[in-house]
Amino acid sequence: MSGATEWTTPRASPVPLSQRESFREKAFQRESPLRRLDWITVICALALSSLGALLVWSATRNNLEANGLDPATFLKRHVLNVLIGLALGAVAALIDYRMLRAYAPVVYIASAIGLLAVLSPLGREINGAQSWIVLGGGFQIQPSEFAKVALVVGMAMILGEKRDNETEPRDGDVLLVLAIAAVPMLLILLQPDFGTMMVFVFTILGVLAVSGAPTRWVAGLVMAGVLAGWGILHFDLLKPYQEKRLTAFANPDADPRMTGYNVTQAKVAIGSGRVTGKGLFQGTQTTGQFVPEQQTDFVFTVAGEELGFVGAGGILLLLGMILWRGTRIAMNAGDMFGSLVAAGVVSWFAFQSFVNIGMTLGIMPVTGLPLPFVSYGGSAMFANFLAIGLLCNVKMRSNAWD
Amino acid sequence: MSDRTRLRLAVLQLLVLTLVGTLLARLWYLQVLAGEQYERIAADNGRGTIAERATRGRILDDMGRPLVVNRTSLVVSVSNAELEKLEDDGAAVLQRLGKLIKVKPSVLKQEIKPCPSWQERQEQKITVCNNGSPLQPVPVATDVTTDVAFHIMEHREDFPGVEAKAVAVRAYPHGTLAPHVFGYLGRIAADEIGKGKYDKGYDPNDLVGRGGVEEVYDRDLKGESGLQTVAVNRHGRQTRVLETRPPRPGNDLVLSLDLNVQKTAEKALADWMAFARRTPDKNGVRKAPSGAAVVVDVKTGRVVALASNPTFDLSRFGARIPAKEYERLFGEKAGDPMVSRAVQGLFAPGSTFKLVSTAAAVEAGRAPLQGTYNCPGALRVGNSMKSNFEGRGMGPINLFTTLVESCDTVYYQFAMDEWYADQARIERGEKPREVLQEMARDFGFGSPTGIDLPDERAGLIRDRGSLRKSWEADKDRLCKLATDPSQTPYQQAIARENCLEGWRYRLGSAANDYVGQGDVLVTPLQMAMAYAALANGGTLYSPRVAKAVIGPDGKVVRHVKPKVVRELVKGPDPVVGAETLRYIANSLAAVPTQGTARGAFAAYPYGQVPIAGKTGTAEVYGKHDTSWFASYGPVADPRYAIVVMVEQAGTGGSVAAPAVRQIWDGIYGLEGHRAAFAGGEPPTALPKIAADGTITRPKLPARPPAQPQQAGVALPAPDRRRAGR
Repeated sequence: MSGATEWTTPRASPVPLSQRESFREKAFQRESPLRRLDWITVICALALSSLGALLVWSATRNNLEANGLDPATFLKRHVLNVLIGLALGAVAALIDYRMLRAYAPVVYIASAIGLLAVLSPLGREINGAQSWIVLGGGFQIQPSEFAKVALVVGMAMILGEKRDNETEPRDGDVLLVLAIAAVPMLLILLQPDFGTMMVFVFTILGVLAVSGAPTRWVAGLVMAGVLAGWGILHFDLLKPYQEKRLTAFANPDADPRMTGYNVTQAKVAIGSGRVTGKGLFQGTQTTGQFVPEQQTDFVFTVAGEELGFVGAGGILLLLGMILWRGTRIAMNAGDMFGSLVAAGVVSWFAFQSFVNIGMTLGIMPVTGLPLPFVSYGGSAMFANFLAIGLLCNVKMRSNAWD
Repeated sequence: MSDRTRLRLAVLQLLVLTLVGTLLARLWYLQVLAGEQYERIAADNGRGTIAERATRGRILDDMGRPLVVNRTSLVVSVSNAELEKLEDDGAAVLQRLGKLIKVKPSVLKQEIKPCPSWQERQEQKITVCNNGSPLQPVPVATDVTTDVAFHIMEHREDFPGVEAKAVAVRAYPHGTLAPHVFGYLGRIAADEIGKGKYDKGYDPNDLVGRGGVEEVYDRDLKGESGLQTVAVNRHGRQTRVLETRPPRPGNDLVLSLDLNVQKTAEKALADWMAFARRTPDKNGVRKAPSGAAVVVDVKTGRVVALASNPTFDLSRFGARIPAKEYERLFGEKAGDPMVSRAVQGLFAPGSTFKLVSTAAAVEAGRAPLQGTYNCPGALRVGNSMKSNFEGRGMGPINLFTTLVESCDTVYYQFAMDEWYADQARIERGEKPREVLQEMARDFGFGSPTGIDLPDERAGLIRDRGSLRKSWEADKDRLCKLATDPSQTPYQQAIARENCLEGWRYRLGSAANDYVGQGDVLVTPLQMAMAYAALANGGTLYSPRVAKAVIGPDGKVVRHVKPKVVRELVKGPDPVVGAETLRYIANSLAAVPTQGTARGAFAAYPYGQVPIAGKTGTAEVYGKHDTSWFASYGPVADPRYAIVVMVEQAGTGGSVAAPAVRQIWDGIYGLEGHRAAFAGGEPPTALPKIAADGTITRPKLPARPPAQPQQAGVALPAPDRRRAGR
C-alpha cells in the first residue's frame, strides 16, 4: 500500500490508519499476551472449575433444598469465585515480571499478617483448625491459601537472584529461604492445619531442589521431615482426633463411626460409580450425604460416583495436564525466577491434588486439603487462579518457547 | 539453566506422572475391579424401610357399639441409637427433653436403653428398659400438647434423635369396663418374633395384644403394616421414596359381649361387693376383695358379659407411671386387678358344685330321683363329725329338698358310700369308679373351657391318680419340712402326715369334694358353662367372647362360633340322663322362691322372668366364705346362665344371689331397670359395617312366647324345715 497522498490530511495518528492495529489484531499478534498465554493450562483450569461447579452443585443442592434454601446457592458462589479467580489470575499473568518480584515481599508480609490475624480473636475455627477470618456478610478468607502463593513467589525471588555465574544457591540463601518459609509454616502449625503445612514442606522441597540447591540440603530436609513425622507420632504431639484422622485411612474399620466411616463412605461412593457413573445428581451416596465435606475436601467422590471412572479419570488427566504444562513452563522459563515459580506451583498442586484424591481413594490420610479448582472455597480458588496466572506470566516472558 | 536444575525438573516431571498414574491405578481398582462390591454396599447404604403401622381394627360389642377404638395422640419418641452418636451420649438432649415433657432425664435414659439380658436385669434389678428393637425410637411421652410437639420439631438441632408425631393409639370409651376381656397393647419383644403366634408378619416395631381378645385376635386386628422403601441419607433422613406398599387396616372384631349387659354385670358386682364390705355379717367384717360375674347365652355358648372386680383403666397403661403408682394401680395392694377372676381365678365352688355331685350320685345309682334321704344335723365321717350348715338337720327329705335346701349331710353320705365302694374295688384289684370326679370332668371342670381369652386356668378336680402324682412330685419337700426345726410342732406333724400319707384319697376329702369344698377348685366361667349345659339340656360349650371378624370393607372375614365340647345327655355315651338333668333343673327353679336364695329374690317378678339358681357358700380356711350364685333363666326356655362369685363375702344368698338378681333385672328391664335387650334376647345378626367405618346396629329379636314348663319329672313338694347354704 503506497497511498502517500493520503498523508496530506491532518494526521490523527503517527501510524497510518490502515496500519493501525485493531484491538483484535493486537490481541492475536504473535507477541501479544493472549497469543502467548498458555491456553492449555487455562482451559484445563477452566474445565476443572466448571466440573467443580457441577459437582459442588450436586453435593449441596439436596441439603440446601431440605433446609428451604436456594439449591443453587453453592453453585452460584462457586461460579462467582471462579470469575473473581479469573480476574485475579489475569492480573497475575499480565503484571510486569519485574513488578512481581518487587511485590513479593509485600505479598509475603501481607499473608504473614493474615495468618497472624487468624490466630487472633478475628479468626474462626472450622473443623478443628483456626484458619479463617470472618469478614462479615457471609465472606470469610483463609489466609493460608494466599500464603502458598506468597511462599512460591518469595522463595523464587530469593533463590532466583543468583549472583554472577552461580549455578546453585549458597547455603546462606537456603537458610534465608527456610527462615522465610518458617514464619508462615509456624503460624499454620499453630492453627493447626497439618495438611497445609505439608503442602508448604513439599513446595519448599520442590523449589529448593529445582533451584539447584546442594543435594545435602534436599536430602537433609527430606530426612528432617521424616524424623519430624516420626517424632510427632511417637511423642503423641497430635491431638487424638488428628492422629485418628491420619491413621484411619490405613484401617478404616478401627473407628468406623468417625474418620474411618468417612473414608469408607468415600470409597463406597467412588467405587459404586463404576465406569460411567450413576449420572449427575443420581449418586445415592451423594444425595444421601453419606460422605462428609463433600463440596470441599471430598468433592472428588461426587465425580467418582456420578461421573464414574470416565469423569473422575478425566479430572485426574486435566490436573495431570496442568502439572505437565507447569513443568514444561519451568523448563522453558526465561530465567531462574520463572522456573522456580513454575516449579513451586507444580509442587504445590501436585502434592495437594495427590493428598486430596488419595484421601478419597483411601490411600492417603484424611487431611483438610481441597482439590485445586474443583473444591468449593473462595480463598483456595483465588490462590489457584493466581498460581495459574503466575504460570502464564512466566511462560509469556520466556524467550525460548516453542 | 543449570544441568542440575534441568535434571531435577525432569525428576519433578517424573514424580508428577507417577502420582497421577498411582491415582489412576487406584481409581481403576476401586471403580472397575472392586466396583461391584461397592455398588452393593452403596445400594444397602442409601436404603431404608419405614413401616407404616396399619390402623388396628376396632373391638365392637354385639350391637356394633365401639368398645375399643383408636384415636390420634401426639407421641414423643427418642432413638437411643441416635443419642449414642452424640459426644455426651445425648445427656444434654435428655436434659432438655426432660424439662420439656416434665420427666426426669434419668428416667428417660432408663426407658430408652435397650434391655440387657434377662439375667442382668435380674441381677441389677432393672425394671424399666427398652425391649424393642434398639434402632427403633422409644415412645417416652404420649398425648403431649401441640406446643411441645412443635417445639421439638422447630428446634431439631436441640433435639437430635427425638421425634414428635401423631400416632394412632388405643382408646377405651368406657373407661374401666371389661379390661380383662379387651387386653392391652405392648411392644413385641425381640425374641418373640418368628415364633409361635408371631411366626409371620411381625417386625420389632409392632405393638401386639397382651391379654384379652387383643392378644387372641391380634392377627385379625393388626392388619398389615405398609412398607415404604426410601432412600435415606447418612443421618437416616429420608431423601426420596423408592417404593410404597400401603398398609392394610386391621379387621374389626365383633364380640358377643354386650355393652349394656356388661355394664349391668359390672355394676351389680361392684354394688354387692360394696354392700358386703359395709355390712358385717355374724362372722364380722366382710372384705369382699374380689369377685366375678359371668353371663353366657346358654343356647349358643356365647359370652354376653364377663366381669372381674377389681378392675382397672386400660388407658393408664400407655401413660408413664412411676413404679409406686403402678403398684398402687395394678399391684398386689390394688387387689391384683389385672387377674381376671372370671377365667383366671380359682375358687372352691361350695354348694353350686352340687349340680355335679347330685348328677354323679343319681347316675351312680346312689340317689334315685324318687328316693328319700336322711338329712341329719351332723354325720360321722370316718373319725370326725361333719355337721350340716349351721348344724341344722331336717330328717328324711326327698332329693328336691336336698337340692333346694342344700343339705350337706345327704351328700356326705353319698360321698362315704362311694368312697367305701371304691376302696373295696381297689382292694379287689379293680379300678375305683370315682363317679364325682368323672361327672365333674364331664361338666367341664378341671380343664380350661377353651374360651378365646389367654391364660385361662384349668381348675382342680382331684382323684386318686392325680393325688398320687402331685404327692410324688412334692413329697421330698414335705418330708424335709417334717423335720424342719423352724416349723411349729403342729406344722411338723401335718408335714409328716403328708409326707407319709399324702398320696391317700381320704374319706374326709371325698366328703368335702361332694359339697364343693376340699380340693375342688373352679373358675366362675367353668361354673357358668356347667349351668349353661344344665339349662340348655346338656350341651357343654367351649364359650367364645368374639362373634365375628369383619374386614375394613364391611365383609365378614370369618364367624367365631363356640364349640360343643360334649353332649351330656344325647350321643352314644350319655353321661347323665335327660330326666336327671331335668329333675335338677326343675329343683333349682325353686331355690329363689323357696330355697336358699329366697331372701335374695324376695318380691322378684317371677311372672315376667322366672329364673332358677343355686347358692354356694365355700369355706376358706381363716377367711370369710366365698359367696356364689349360679343361675339360669327364663326357666321354661332358658336363654342365659349367670354366675356371680365374690370372695370373702359370706353366704351365697347374701351377696352373690342379689347381684345375680340385679343382672337379671338389667337384662330384661325388671324392677325399674332399663332393659339391656328390648326383647330380652341378644341379637342374632351381626352389626353392619360400611366401607367408611360407620356401623349399623342389628335388629333385636322379639321376646319368644313363653313356653310351658317342661314336663316329665314329677317334683315332690319341698319339706318345711330349712337347712342348706
